[in-house]
Amino acid sequence: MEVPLNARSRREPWPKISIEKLTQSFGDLTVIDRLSLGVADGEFLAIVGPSGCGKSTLLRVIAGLAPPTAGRVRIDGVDVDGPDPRRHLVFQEHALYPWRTVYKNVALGLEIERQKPEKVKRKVAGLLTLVGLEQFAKYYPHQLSGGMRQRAALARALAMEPDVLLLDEPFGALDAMTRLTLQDELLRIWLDSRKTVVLVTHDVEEALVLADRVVIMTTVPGRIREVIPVTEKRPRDRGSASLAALKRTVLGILGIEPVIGNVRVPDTNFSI
Amino acid sequence: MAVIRKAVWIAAVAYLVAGQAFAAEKLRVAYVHVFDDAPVVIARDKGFFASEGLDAQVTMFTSGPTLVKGLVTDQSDLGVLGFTNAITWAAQGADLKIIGKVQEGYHSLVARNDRGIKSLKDLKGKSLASQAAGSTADIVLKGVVLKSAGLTDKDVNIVYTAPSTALASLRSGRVDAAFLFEPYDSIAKASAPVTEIYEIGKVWPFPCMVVIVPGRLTRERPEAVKKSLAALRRSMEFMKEKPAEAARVLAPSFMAEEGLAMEGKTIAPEEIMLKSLKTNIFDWRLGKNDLSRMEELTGVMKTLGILKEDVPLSSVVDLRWQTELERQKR
Amino acid sequence: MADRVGTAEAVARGGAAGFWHAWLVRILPYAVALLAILAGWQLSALLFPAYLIPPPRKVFSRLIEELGRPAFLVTLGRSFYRLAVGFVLASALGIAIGLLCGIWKFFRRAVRALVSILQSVPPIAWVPLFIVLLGFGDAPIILVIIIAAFFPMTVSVMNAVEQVDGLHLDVARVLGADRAQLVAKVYAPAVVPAIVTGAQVGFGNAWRSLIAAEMVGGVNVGLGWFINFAGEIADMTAVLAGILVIGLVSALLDGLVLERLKRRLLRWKYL
Repeated sequence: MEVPLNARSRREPWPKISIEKLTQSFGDLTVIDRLSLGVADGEFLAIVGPSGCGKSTLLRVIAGLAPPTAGRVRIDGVDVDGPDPRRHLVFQEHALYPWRTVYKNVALGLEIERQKPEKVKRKVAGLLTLVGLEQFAKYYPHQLSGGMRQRAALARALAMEPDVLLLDEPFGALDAMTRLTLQDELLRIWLDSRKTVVLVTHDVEEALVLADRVVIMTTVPGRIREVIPVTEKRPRDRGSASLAALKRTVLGILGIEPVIGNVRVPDTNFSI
Repeated sequence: MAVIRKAVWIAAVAYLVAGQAFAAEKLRVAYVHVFDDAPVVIARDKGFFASEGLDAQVTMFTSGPTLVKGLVTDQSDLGVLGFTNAITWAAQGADLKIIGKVQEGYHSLVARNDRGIKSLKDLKGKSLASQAAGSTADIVLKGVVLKSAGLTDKDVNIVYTAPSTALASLRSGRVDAAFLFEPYDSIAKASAPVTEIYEIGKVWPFPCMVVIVPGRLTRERPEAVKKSLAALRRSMEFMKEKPAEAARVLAPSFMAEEGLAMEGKTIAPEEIMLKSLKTNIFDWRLGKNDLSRMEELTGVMKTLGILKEDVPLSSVVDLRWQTELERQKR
Repeated sequence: MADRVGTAEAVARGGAAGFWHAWLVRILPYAVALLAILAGWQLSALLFPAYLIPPPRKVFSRLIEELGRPAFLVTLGRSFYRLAVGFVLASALGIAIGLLCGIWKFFRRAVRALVSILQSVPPIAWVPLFIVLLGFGDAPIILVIIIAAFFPMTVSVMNAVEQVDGLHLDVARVLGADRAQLVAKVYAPAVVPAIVTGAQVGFGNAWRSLIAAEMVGGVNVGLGWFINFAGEIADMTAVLAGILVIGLVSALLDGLVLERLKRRLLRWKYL
């Protein structure tokens, strides 16, 4: 399904990220089927969908970690042909290096770029303060909580000053309260820097609270089912009626009917 | 019928009784795989053990020190090896007896022509391949040969290795010199550019290979001791009277592994055997000179730090059977 | 770690008595094992003549005597020298080849095949061949040590390289790392635990092969040579003293040196 670009992006000649008829298969299994999508510069896009619908794979292709089986992916008009620090992918499992301290982990990308040590020091210190981890610079990942680790991963991502930030269910493994805190942090950071963000999540509320548009994907093969624009001004009230209505809509599209606070799984007699 | 049965019975019993009387006495004989111990091989292969009424189970060892451990742990009854092995173990308290001689020490020091070694003194700083560390040959090398040139084992780089390896190293030039006995000595001279610069038998004759038995054997089976000495004496006489035949008998035992393909020169194994027979002195009697040499060498062992205490030779040497055999003019 | 906690707890609970109790619990198994060995030894010494099995007392005093003799220290030092050279070379080689295997699939398969064939040959079986090829002296011994220590290290590192977390590699790639940086920043630190394991196993092999090779021949100094020579001149006391040295050195080097090294390198795990 062709997706028109939203109003804001009409200012730009090209979308920041342009995905054209992307098909991704692993052997016989087609995970993504002729998907086309445009993401505007500075846009916050969320992708929701059931598990296994190729959301993660899509991010990996955009990040350049996997070459497209068919179709093309362009960033700034140029085909993606490999990973690049300017489009950073944050994984669900924090993937911090256990043998490095928090400081060293955040500094990793800068080390790879062979930046000068003083510059690295300054940047890392600033980022740690940004994500609230200044006290824990000398700690090792296994000494931190899940939420702190994800913050470190975020700091590591931001150290590279990427134009495009790809997030693959970054808060999926965290508890509800930490999730809310980190969602707010992410929003704060984005509002500050206006990077192009693509967030993959299974948490519909999260998508609605953060994104400009919410893309709903179907499962195998992965296609775009629907795109819901969210025009409310941020920060958005989670408890508002409009948000709740949008949530019901999205869930409905996903095939999940809420039954007065419960969720009834279709085609069965269960209520959860 | 009854008569025949009885006759059979009597015959059977008589046979058994007679058989016992004539049954060969079992004896576990051990020797070191060196030409110095040729008399043992002759005794085995020419049946001299058997003709003395001994059922000899002959085992070969690669070195004297290894062999003597079998004597001390009751795995062998009789051994032919370097006499110092009896001394070292007697010093520790083992009950071993030297009862006869087999061979006088023959060890020649051969040096490669291209290493500038003309006399023993030139060995300083050079490499020398020798036999098992701690063996009689080794003790003689350090305490007599090197000493005579004013050298110690620190001045010469001695490598301890099997004789065939020593030979190969000498040929390939990996060592400058080697301390060899027969047949390796003859082979070396025939196949490598070497010169003999010293032979101990010429300068300092000493009893090398002797017959050693556990003390227990002399007390419990004196007849076996006498018979084995007699068999060995016959061997040595045979080797003197019929050297050509002896050479033929010995060739398979001592030349088999050498393989005589040596840089174009082919030498018949028997020739090497004959040469070795000529250069070695085989004698079954320990005389006064032998005993005084043994005393000297025991002193050398003490100087080298191998013996911590004195070992009176009289406690180890027991020449009763030798004396008996001398009287018996077979 | 648990021991230390236990000690602290014990102290908190029972003061000085608690401390001694905890310490005793830790030391007791070793003490019992050692006593059992000594008892067995003393028993055999009673059953066998002294020239075959000397009693522990005699061997210990001989050991102390030997440690005071410069000739013995020189011989021991030579063994250490061979061990050091061989072990360091083997480890370096093992790590390098193990890492290479991680990056290059063809190389990995080739090395695996080579390892499976050669690994089963006992290192000292090579000694006669090496003496012929390299002559007498330290070279054949060191080569044997290298073979003994190389395989465990290579296999350990190779396996660790294969098991490196793909996620870690993706992170580095996304951050723009090239192949060399992948090796240096992901593979190398990730395989450090495997290197330590490989070193510990390899060290045991190296020490054992060193002694064995020195006994087989071609040398005139070294701990293995010392034991061999003593055996040849009926000096069983020295033989057992030498064996004691083998055990002590191994325990010291492994327990003190290697263990310390492990804790330093894997600080991040133990903190």
